[in-house]
Amino acid sequence: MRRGPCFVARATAAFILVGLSAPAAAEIGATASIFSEARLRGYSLSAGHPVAQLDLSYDDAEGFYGNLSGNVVYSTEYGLRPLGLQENIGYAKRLAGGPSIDVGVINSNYSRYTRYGHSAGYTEVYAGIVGKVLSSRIYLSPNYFNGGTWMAYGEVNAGISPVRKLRLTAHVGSRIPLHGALSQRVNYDWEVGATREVGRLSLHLAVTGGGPGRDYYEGVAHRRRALVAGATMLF
Amino acid sequence: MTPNRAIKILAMALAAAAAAWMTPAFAQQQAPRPDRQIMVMVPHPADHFRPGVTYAGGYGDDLSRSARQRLARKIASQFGLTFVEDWPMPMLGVDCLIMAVPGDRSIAQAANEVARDSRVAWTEPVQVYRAQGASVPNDPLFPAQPAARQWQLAKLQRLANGSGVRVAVIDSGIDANHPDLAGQVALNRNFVSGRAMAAEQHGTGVAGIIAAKAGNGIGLAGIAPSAKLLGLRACWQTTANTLCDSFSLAKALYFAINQKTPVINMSLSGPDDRLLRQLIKTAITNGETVVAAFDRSQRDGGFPASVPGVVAVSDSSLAGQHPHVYIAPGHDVPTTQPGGRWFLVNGSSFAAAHVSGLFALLRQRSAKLSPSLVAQGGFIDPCATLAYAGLNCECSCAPGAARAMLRR
Repeated sequence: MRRGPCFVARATAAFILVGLSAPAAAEIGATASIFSEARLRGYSLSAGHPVAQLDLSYDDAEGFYGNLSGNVVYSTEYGLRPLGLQENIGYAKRLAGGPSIDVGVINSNYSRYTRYGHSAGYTEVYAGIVGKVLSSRIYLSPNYFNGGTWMAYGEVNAGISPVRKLRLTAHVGSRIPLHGALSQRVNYDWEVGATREVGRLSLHLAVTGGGPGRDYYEGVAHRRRALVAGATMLF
Repeated sequence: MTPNRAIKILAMALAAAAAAWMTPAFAQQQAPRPDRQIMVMVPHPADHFRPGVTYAGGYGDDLSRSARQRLARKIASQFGLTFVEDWPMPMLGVDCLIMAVPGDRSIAQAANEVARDSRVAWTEPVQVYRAQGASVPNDPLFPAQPAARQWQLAKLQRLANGSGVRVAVIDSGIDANHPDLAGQVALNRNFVSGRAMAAEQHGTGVAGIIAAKAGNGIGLAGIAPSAKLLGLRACWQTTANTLCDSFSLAKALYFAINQKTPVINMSLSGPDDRLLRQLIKTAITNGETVVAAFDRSQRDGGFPASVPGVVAVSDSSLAGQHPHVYIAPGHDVPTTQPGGRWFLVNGSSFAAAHVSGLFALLRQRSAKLSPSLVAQGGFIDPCATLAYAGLNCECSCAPGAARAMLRR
């Protein structure tokens, strides 16, 4: 976690600088969201509590991009507290046949208000391919949640729009411990969801789950399956 | 997720939805007018990862949509346009932004101005295209109307519809309340002494062929659906026939001439009559067109069809037999019937009604007092007739119509 804040500061500064000096064709996006809980790869990151999130994005016409995502968690015990911050830079290029290749690095830092009860973080590199309907990526982290272990995560996502302004999504992912892990157990997670655009708002509803085993937080075992509702406002 | 938490989230989402509903961007989508819009194409960044840790698999379009719409609003504001909607087209590598151009500005100029912006790939006006399938009235009986095929009625009505032209129907009573005739009968007057006004078959059928409403989703389309009818009842219906007397006819004809009615339809035949002949000559001298049904039982076609200057019309049963008789559709013609019904009719009376309708089209488009019909072997070529009257008509249907009629 020691290098986390430095990375955060650098990434944030880079993001702001890139944004300020954005070339004419760059696009900058901003959204604010609320979700009934924050989930990460089949587990509840916010210990079942609702979160509010701010996302910023920068897209260069040449294919370089950056994202900054921060969220806070609300609980009756603590009130509103910071939950996590993610910084991401990458490069995507559309291939002649239609799909895009996508490579990048993401740094994630989480506060003690997550399900783990202590602050933690990790940096991952990823590479993938993004098609019209399907996308797939492989992530590799040398120090997953500061546990000193290498971790790989692979995912396949699907998204279709059966009617305009409605998007149906599906996701399957698998987390595979590599070098240094005490447990070699492979985890999987899944999700099916729908997003409906209403003017400058997106409404989300998804069912997510994973295995094997149950989810433990706040001293209690919980089912891995959960219903997540949310709304995103575009700026 | 506990029920209380779910309720909280739902309440917040609904509040946000209500707020979003009232934003200008959403309101702008309510009034698209394609011919006042331009398409602004901006590069679509390659799709890629978004963090979105709260929503596994949900990283997707929201940030891209936000970026796209922010750019669209910025461009719209800079060039004095209104952002209407966006449509990403990743397959082409562009996002299409629709912008409305204010009414006082040139569309082409606005498109050119925006195209010079470095953020924009290209622009173009939203253009209007027309389906090339035959555009026909939605009247269910239209396909069954002989004129639809033989006269290419849909094409004729794209050139003229009889607007502003009055046609006098000297006949039995017209059902002016028939749903295909409601509003088409400017005047419905009874000239038959001692017989109360009534809605009758012959007059209602003739009226429907001339000016039944087109495009109203019921019944048929008249030849001149925007013409107005003067229903001049000089005949009455009996059990077997429709009869008229010369006095009633004279009163009706006099009224039509006095009203300067440009087209007078007389789908009837009988003995020569001095008074009526005098009135008909007066009408023709005044530049009015008198159309009459040819009576095949009379060598000369009977009266008034035999009066010089009267347009004598028969159905195809007389094709090629009388050089001065025009041939028009008169077999199995769907038309209006009293009581809001429709039926099939046959005979020269209804062929004459077609020609009266055609004269209504001519009178709308031609300044000539006495427009002429163009025919081949007696078969009227309505398109050539309209062309002769000064319209740029590219169609010619007489040969096809002739063949179709002779096959019957």
